[in-house]
Amino acid sequence: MNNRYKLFLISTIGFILLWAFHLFVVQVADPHNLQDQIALRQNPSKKILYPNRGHILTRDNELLVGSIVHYQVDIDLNNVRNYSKRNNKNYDAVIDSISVIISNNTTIRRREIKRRLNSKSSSIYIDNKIPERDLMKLKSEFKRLHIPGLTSTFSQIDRTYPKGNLAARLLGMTGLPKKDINGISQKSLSILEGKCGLEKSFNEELTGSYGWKQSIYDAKNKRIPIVNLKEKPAVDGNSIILTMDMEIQEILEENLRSGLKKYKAKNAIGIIMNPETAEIIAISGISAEDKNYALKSLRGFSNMAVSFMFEPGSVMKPITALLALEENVFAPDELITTKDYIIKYSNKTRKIKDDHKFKALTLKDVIAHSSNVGISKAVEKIGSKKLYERMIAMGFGQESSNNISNEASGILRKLKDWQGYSLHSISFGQEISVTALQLTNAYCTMANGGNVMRPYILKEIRNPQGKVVMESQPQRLRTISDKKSLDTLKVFLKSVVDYGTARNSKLSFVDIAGKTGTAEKKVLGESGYSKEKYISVFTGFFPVKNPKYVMTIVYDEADFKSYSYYGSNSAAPTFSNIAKQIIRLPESDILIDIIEDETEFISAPNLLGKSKPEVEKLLTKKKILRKYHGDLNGDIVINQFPKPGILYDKNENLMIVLGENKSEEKSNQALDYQMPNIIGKTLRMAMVETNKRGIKLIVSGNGTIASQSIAAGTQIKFGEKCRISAK
Amino acid sequence: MINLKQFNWVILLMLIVIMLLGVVAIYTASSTKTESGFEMKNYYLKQLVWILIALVALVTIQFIPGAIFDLLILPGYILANLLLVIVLFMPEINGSHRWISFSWINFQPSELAKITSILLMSKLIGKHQLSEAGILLRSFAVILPPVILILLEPDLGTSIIFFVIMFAILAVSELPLFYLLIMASPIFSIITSFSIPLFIIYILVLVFVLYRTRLANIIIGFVVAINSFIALLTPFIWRGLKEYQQNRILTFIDPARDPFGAGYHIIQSKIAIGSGGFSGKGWLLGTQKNLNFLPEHHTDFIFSVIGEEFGFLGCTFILILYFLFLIQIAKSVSDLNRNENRYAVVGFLAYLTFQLFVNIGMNIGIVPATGIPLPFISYGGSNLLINVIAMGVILKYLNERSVFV
Repeated sequence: MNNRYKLFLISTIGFILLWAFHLFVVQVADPHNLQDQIALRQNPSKKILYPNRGHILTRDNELLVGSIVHYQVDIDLNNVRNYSKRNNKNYDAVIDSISVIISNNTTIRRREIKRRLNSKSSSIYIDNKIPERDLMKLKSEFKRLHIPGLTSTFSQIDRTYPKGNLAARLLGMTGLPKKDINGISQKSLSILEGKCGLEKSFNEELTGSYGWKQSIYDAKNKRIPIVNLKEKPAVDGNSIILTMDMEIQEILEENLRSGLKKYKAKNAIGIIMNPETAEIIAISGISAEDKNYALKSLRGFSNMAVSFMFEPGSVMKPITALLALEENVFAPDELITTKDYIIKYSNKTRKIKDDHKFKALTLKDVIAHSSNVGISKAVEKIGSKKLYERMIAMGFGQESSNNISNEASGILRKLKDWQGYSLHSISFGQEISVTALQLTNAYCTMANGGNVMRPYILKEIRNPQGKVVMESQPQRLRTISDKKSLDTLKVFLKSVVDYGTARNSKLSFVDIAGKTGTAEKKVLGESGYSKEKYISVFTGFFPVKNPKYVMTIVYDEADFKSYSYYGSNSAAPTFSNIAKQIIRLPESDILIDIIEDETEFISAPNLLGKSKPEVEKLLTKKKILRKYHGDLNGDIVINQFPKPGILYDKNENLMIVLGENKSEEKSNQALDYQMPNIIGKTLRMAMVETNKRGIKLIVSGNGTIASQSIAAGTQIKFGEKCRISAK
Repeated sequence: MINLKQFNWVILLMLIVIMLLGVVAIYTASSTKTESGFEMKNYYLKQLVWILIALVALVTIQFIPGAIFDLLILPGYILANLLLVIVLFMPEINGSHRWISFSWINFQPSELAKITSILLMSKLIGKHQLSEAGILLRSFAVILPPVILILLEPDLGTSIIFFVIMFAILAVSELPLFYLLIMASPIFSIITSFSIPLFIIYILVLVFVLYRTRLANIIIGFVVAINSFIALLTPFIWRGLKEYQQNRILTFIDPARDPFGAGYHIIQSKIAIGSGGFSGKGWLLGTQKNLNFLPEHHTDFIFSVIGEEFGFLGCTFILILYFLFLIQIAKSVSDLNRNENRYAVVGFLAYLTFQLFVNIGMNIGIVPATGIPLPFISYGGSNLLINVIAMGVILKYLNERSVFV
């Protein structure tokens, strides 16, 4: 017995020693570095938080570009299997209800989901483009039915364009940045990078910065809440607010599009700027070939308004005329003979000719009738040095803006490279290449009293909380000329529209000043100019007394046979049409001379959201001319032009843009059905204000409104009548 | 009746100390660090209640007269076996039918079967002048019914305990030791069957030892034949094992084989203990249980929590405490004059010792994970109760030893 007790004692001691030795090895000697292993496990893992890319909005807070976060959704079938086993549920029935949930909340078909789910693997990929909103629905459905297995991970951010192709080339596009990892170029799926356009110029502002979040996961892969975990939130990108006016941009694009068709041009470009500040209010460049490309690739094309260089032709003449006025080269009534003019340089001669048949013109009429001879004679008296310096001062031959990508600098040769005819050529816009932006900006200087401003399109930058972090200020670069000369030049430019080359485009109710230009295009590979390819330009501003808008319209290679290639036949009418529409905008504060013309104005009905048959019925009843655009198979009106409530010429077509029904992307332009304050406004303005709200005015008197029967701010019903008296 | 002068207070005191240390360990194991301090589960309170119940049972046993207690053994054994049959019809939990669930307690009938089997076997072979065959037959007759029923559950770990207990009791019985050797030899055959040269060496050693004990050649030949047969059969039995059993054995051999499956417990437990270092991370500051890396950290893997929070010092303290406790019991065995009592105490001692070493062994990764709790420390009402009752019986026998002198 004693022996066996000893045996027990010895074996127990043996085991104890063995166990203790093992403990010592594991705990103290630690050959497997277990202490580090636990440190590793305890080290919080960093989860990357992705910033949302900033928005791009117009000055009137219309969203041009937004961001949408997409998630990847997978189904963990192991989890589903365990669930159905545990709860004694039929596995197939569970799979069935999963596929119903997914197909109800996404665009994927039920049969397709079922096909994928009938697999033996553990994790089934559903889709990586599930927007956040759909994911939330999915999650709540799964939760409601207590079905496990739904997993979601951040997939990528995509851009949305609520306004479709509006300003597509200006906004540009984003793409996935390529990262160079160990010499292998890889696409990072998580963030977007501006590839061109404003997306590129403001990429840094829009991108935001990554954040991270420390988290500790337990063995069940659940996050452990432990205090003092560090977190750096992702900072969403800032929003870019443009100086662009949404409605004016729409007006510009619609007119360019119809002009492009009407004049059979290759390209059409337009810019509208505010002369006081050089803000770009609208900017567009479209090409006849655009229809051959998908919208997505259009965004990758260059913004022609700043990248397309052309010889401007006669629109350059006012620069010489201004110099002539400053220098008093001619007396106001001095006649300049405008017969064919032969200039000699070394052994060569060149004949300068005019299209018109005036024998002699004053300087004013040289501009009005666009005389090459007259302006050549003027520039001879000014000299090349002064002309060159003025050109430089007005921004030609240089990039003018600092935040529009792809801007071309134009071509203005250095003075020492000017050849024999250069002086004359440049005075009427040859041997020089400009961009539409440079041209418009030069006219801004003429319109605003000689201030050369730096054009800009960035109004302000707002952080994700909506606070303005940066606001652009108008930037005056230099001042040129003097008031007297500039005022005289304005009169000259007004005469172009009043009785000169652009007299067809005169508007009865507002003064427009401007200059036409028709330039032969240089053809690649040939010497000299083409006889059939022209650049047709009109640049001008209105109202003349107090210019609010400076606009350039350019048609590239407008139809030759129908004489559309003349700036006065294509660009000028487009200009005046746009001017007309801008003035009629409800927000327009341009005081118009009330000279009633024969045009009968009607208020555009609200067609947004209506179906095509509905629209047809309504418009036929009202005898309104219309034209359909966009997706002609579309079933719903997504845009119309003019906008509802806006007065327009009855003889013009109402443009109706059809599209697919995307209710959530409909612009929230819901009108406030409140009585506006119209006291103090002109009768016309009052009608504009009330028309769009469906209020009928009963007017007594004439002039500005003195009283209104419904007080401002009261809720009104459609068609309600309001008595007003005017003095 | 209880004899206070004879009562072994040292053993009882050590038992209470060990159980209270267990409560401390369960307290930390059931706490989870959260943002607002600690989140507690009430396991430690439940354990305290169970300790009280168990101590009441221990004291009650002391007051049951020896004769009546003897009479209760056979009905208890039959009841245990009945429960083992009933448990087979209970719902499956984690792939086996081990538990009888009432609303307030989950009970493993195999626990009761262990105690009653020990008592019945001791009683049956404690009689004097039994032949060697008689001892063996009685032992197997008592052990086999519960073992077979438990294997049906299936619960391999527990059924092995029965054989360990039987071995221990037979080792102190009047049976010659070579019987044990012969009985144990198949185990070594199984182990060595995976390598033919190893098996041949083993058989040669076995023949040599048996030859020295002067056994008849025919018996030696019989033993060799049985062993060879078992070695040949092992691969087939291996295929007959449940997958999780195979996995447990395989992962024991190589825990990294399946770090998230069957080897998971062993690896996690080992990391926890290893990270404790010399003096541990400190009370409540362990990570394994906070991060849920160790399932069952308040039951089977409580030792890893102790190892992580109290380090090598804490572990060796627990080991030494258990050692002194078991030695106390072992020492007292020689004081017992009745064979059956002595056998029973040895049986309980073997039972507790086996549980202790297997549990700690699996916590530190040198024994396969078998689902055996750490006696008196692991959380779990029925196991604690049975273990304390076993202690009660030991104390009772030690207390009664002079009565029948």
